[in-house]
Amino acid sequence: MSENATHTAYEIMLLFSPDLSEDAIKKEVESLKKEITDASGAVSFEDFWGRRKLAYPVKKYEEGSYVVLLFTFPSDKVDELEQELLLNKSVLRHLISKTPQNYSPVTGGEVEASEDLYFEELRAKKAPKPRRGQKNSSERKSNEVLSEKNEEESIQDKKERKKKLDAILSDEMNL
Amino acid sequence: MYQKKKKSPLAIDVPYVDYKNITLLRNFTTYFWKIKPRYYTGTTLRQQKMIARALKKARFMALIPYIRR
Repeated sequence: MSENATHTAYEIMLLFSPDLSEDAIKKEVESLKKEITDASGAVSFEDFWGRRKLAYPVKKYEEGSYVVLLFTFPSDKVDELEQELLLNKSVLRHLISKTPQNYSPVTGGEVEASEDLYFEELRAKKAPKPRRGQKNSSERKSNEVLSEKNEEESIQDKKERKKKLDAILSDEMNL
Repeated sequence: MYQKKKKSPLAIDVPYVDYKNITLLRNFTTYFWKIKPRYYTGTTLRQQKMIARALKKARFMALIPYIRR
């Protein structure tokens, strides 16, 4: 192929040890970014999640700080990037993955907030089971709508009946 | 009696399941963080593969445990 292999969109997630301060982490990330731009890549998104308790101890550490980067990079030189990360002692884990097209990046806080939408959908699908004889949800909905209309009409009928009764009672009293 | 086919909780056209959505992925694991089989959740094969891949990535990055202690 020509000089530049095709640039592909990658996403990398880094786990730094808790010994590093935030400034040290930023320095490491900026050195990473320089390497990316030197190889004609472009960083489009970065997110510092901050310190977080790990689900299991990693290299005897119970906490770590996460960083997420989205960037484009020539596909030939990803192995070099990975080897440098493996040699770096402060980086405990790293994960390079391809992002699909039209992937809109989400920050750590937004991810946790947006999941409520999925949760609500799942709760709605765990709604009470349909009664016997009503297989489809559409049938159930139509029945519910009809029942509401019937209730409204009955309320109006009740009011009319009340008025009629009051009128009759008043007539009786007059009588 | 055949069991009724469950509808998948995810939209059928889900393009990508992110390994960072821990609360979404939790719905597809047991109490002990094991991956639920497809006949429990009713997902499609494509969705189940994406979910499994995302769960394994998240386990590697220590976002979720391999097994509950």
